[in-house]
Amino acid sequence: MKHCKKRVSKIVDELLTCFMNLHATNIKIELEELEACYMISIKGNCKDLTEEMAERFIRLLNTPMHQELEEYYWELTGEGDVDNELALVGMMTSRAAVNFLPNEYLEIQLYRDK
Amino acid sequence: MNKIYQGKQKIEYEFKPVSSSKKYVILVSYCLAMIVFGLITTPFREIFAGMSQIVSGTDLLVTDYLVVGGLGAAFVNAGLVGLISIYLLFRNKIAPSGITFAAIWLITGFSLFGKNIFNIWFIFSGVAIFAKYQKESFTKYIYIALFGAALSPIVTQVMFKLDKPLFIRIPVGILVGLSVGFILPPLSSYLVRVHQGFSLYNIGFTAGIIGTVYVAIFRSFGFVIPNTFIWSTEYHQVLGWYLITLFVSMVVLGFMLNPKAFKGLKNIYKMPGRLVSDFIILEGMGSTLVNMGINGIFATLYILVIKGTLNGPTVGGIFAIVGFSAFGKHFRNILPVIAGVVLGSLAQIWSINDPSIQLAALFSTTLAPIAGEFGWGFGILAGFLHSSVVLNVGYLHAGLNLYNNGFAGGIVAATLIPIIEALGKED
Repeated sequence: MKHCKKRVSKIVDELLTCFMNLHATNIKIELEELEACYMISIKGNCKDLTEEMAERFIRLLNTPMHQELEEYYWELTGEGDVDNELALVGMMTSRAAVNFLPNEYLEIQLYRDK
Repeated sequence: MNKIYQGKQKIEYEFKPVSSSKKYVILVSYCLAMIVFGLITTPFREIFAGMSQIVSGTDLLVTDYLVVGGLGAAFVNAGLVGLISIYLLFRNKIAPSGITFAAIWLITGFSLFGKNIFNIWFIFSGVAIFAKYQKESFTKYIYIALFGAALSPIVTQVMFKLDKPLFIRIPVGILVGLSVGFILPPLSSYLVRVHQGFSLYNIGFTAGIIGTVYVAIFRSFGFVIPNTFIWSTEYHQVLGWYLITLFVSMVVLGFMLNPKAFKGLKNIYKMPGRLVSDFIILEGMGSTLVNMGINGIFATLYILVIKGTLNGPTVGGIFAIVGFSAFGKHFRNILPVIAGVVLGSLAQIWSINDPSIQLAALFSTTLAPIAGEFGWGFGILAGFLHSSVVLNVGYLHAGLNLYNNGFAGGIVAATLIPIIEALGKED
């Protein structure tokens, strides 16, 4: 696969933009390259986060992997300024874990197979 | 109390997911319905002769196969191209989703005016060679191949219309087709950034640019491509009944698959529709089919109300709306854009039912995400601009790019989006 590192970096970009749009002021990102996959973790104090929003994010991130869609549209990840591409992020990752408390914090952990 | 969700399998959807095999059955059934429609309306011998005319004739924009080969041959061609595409998807173990329905309806629609069982293979093969060159599976590029058949007329134009001996025309035609397919994947994924996913027919934008470059090369070698305009009017009524039956069946099937489809439809209406919005993944097959049916009925009624003509190109335009109603379009985001084209026809020098404006109204819905994201005003503005731009970009690719409206839509979106964002965004 071409542009492997760039794709991971764009996923991080997408998540960061999403958190900033939720007016998070303290965001921690962790990216780890493991043997078989990349682990991306992001946590922020998303004060504007509602339960409805978080459940929507969970649903989007749980979009099944679609390599054929990824190949066509991956360059859109992290590009949007007004809307998010979390469904696309879901299509590019194999596992997602979301932990949140409304109006307090949101934590997302994603795994992308190599 | 905080909440933790793990993995990708624990989400409970409000709709019962439809299996991949059922989705394939739905896709195949609609393609078979096209073939049956062709066989019912036309004697078999005429269909055979018509298919041969379609394969060997010109395919430039606008070439209505209903004139070239007749009603039956055009629909049999569309159904067969659809079945070939479904077979490719099935063979590559693709789980059908919204983009699958968009691709199949788009390719069958354009098989009424430009794509046929012969000319699609060269683009497909070019994409497959690219996949091989990258040491990747063709599966990853399959949608690019299916959408990329927009440039199929380039093959037949060189093979059958170039003023050179046969032994030169045939290999040059093949080479041109393969080369177009080969460069499509990197270009299409790169150019999607230019309009940020606000034009749904992204390959149309890419194909427009590729077509422009190829035509410039052709012209510099003295190969002039003539203007083509072949447009039927005699099948208007029968097509009207056919389309309404088809789209009503989608609404009925949608409710059979999900009796609470209206709830999902309401959720679909809340989405902007920007790429990537896969309604089948997000809201299920039932609600998506209802959305497709409603938009199909609306688009057909639009053509009837403005006293337009139902023929190969306009039915292709309606099919494109229906297909992308599984992947970004819904009634709320297509309406403002079409209204913009209607407004344009009132203010500008052309009439609402001029052939090119009928097509512009149908295909302008490529810009539906602009209305979905930024509201009615910008949606109308996008449609208004589109109606002007689309009439001026055809010269660049000389009709070799069947998705002329996708090309124009990409230009309009790439121009409008930065301006809208600069004017409207606070931080």
